[in-house]
Amino acid sequence: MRRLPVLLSVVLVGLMALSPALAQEQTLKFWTFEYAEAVDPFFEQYVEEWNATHDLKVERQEFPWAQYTGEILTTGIATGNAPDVFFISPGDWRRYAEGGLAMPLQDYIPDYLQEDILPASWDAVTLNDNVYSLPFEMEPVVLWYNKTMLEEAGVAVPTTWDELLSAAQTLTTEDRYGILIPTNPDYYENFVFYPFLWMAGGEVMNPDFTEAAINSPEAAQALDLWGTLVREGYAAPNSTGNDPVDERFPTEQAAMFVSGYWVYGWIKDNYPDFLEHLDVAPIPAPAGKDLQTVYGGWTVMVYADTAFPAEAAEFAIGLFGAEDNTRAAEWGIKYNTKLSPRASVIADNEEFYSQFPHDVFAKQIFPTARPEPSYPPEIAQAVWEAIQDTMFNGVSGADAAAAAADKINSYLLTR
Amino acid sequence: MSTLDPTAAIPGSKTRTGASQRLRGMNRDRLEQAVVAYLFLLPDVLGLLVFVVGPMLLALAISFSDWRLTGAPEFVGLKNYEIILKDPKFGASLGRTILYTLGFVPAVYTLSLGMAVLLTRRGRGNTFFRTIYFMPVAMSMVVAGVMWRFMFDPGNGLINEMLSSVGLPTLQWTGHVQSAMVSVLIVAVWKSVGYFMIILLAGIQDIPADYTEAAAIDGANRWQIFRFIIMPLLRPTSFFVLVILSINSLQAFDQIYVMTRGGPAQATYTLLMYIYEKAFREWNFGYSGAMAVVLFIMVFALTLIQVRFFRSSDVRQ
Repeated sequence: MRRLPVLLSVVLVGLMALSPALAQEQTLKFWTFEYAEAVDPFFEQYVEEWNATHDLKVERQEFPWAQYTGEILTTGIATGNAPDVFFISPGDWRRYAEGGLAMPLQDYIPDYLQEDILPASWDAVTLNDNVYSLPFEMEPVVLWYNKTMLEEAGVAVPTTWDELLSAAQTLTTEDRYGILIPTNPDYYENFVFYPFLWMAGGEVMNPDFTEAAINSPEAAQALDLWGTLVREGYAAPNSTGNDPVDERFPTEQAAMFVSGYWVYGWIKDNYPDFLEHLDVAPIPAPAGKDLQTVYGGWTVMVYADTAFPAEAAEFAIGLFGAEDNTRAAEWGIKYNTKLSPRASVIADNEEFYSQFPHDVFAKQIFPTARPEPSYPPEIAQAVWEAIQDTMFNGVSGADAAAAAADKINSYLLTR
Repeated sequence: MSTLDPTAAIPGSKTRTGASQRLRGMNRDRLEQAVVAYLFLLPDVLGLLVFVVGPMLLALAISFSDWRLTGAPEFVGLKNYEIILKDPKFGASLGRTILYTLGFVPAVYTLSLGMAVLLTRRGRGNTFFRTIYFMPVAMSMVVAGVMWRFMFDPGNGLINEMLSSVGLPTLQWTGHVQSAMVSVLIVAVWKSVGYFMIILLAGIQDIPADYTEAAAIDGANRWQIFRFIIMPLLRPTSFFVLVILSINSLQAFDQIYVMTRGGPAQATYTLLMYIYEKAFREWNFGYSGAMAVVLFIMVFALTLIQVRFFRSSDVRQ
């Protein structure tokens, strides 16, 4: 008859063991996606520094990329467990800001930072004259190429779309693709497509955001270029799953690769032998048109309903916006390959930014770069469905653009 | 027992009192046993309530609401269900899910059954083959998806290399709308066969050897033994396998997400992907919940039909 009390006490002990977890401790929650292990010290040092000097402690949590860009933030907010400070993708910030999920930060931004960050970067995170997120990195998209392959094939670096097509054709062989462009239907595919769309003279939306602008001959031309590359077999039709860092480029299964600044750091760390073949150029424009590209980059946001607005803003700003710009510079130079939106970072690191390929990015590519637009998922989806249809269903660029415009306009009606 | 007990004064009642005491003692014992049993069950039941029943009821409740992340849920009655009826994307993704199921269930069942039959007899190397066939089950779906993506590469992938080395035409696999679903199916089948093979193998080995021996003595050949002895006696296992397979395939998500993201051009965009995107991308929890409820009803109905089918064919036996 002793079993019952014993069991009951086991249950009790179990409940007691759980209770500390149930008692909420007051901390500032800081969420990011999972970076490479080498990047961890960057965050650890700052959090340690903060915790040593503040009563309110910061607790950093990181999540796998797929979940972080998928359900993590959404479920955190929906269940009342939102972080106080978090990284937000450029594609998502607008609807967080519009939906009242982001705390306006304008009043917290110190003067030196207001002046140091480039106007275009502020514009990209501003809604109704208030800043809703802090930019801290920029990653422009370019045309990477294998210069050895181009030399061997006698192909000049393409500067127009016609040259791009014929270069891709010439460079395509039995066991290599002429070029790699993203083929997974996703935000990233749109991101890389925007420079093509813009250089042709097309836009997704009108300036007032009241109507689709994608149903234009210019947009059709850009869609047709991508469609032709895939349908003719010059570009790989399948994805290796990680379009931003496609292994087929450094393993010499492709001659050209449309991707971002991060490619350099990735190749340096993982395929150092390939560096001797690596070169970079702006994405070609249609004949007679100006060069343009897009830059992505995450930003840091404060949750609107945080219990500690002042501390959260201080923490977020201090991360990349401290008056001493060392941390902001190290983020792009030491821990990653990214440009900083702070003008002082490039000015103070002249030596680094005069080396290949950073010089090309800082001086040649960056001045032509526009921040990634932030569209709601319904609009983004209409765009990648148009791309997919021209690539895989044999739909003409004009028809695909018209269909995308219809989808966007009917979405705008229900908004 | 109280002093008012009418049986107390009756001679010979002692035995009855003893009996009732024994009875009560037994009741106490039973009660205690029941309490102990329930306490042992408690963690499981709690887990089931918190992690399965709770969310299901919550999803049902959400499905009657309009709930975006940016505001409180608002009751809208059956509106979300009405939208489902008019939503062409729901129909299209459901169609693809059914297509997937029609490919997946028969393929996995016949292959795992065939392998189970081949590996039933004790022979040299059988343990080796069982391990080999089971290995994909132990692999993470994400890892498997990544590995197969390389094998399916149209340019330098192993599969196309093999096809062309024997003079067969190569395919674009995940890079073409017509072969993408097949590619996804191949991976899903490869990943599942080992698990169901083990279950069917256990089922076959449970069949008493007397039956097959008797049949053999009566002159039945191997095919007849399989068709008339093993298959009927394997019915409960087959039922279990087919039900689980149908449920799995109606809920296909992760390998497709890893391999194609629903592309190219939506060729592999299944219902569960649509449900996921509506909720976590578009923040339309109400509509997503309604679709999840509809999917649940379909899975449930399919299971009931299978129960009926197996019962009625049992009766015929």
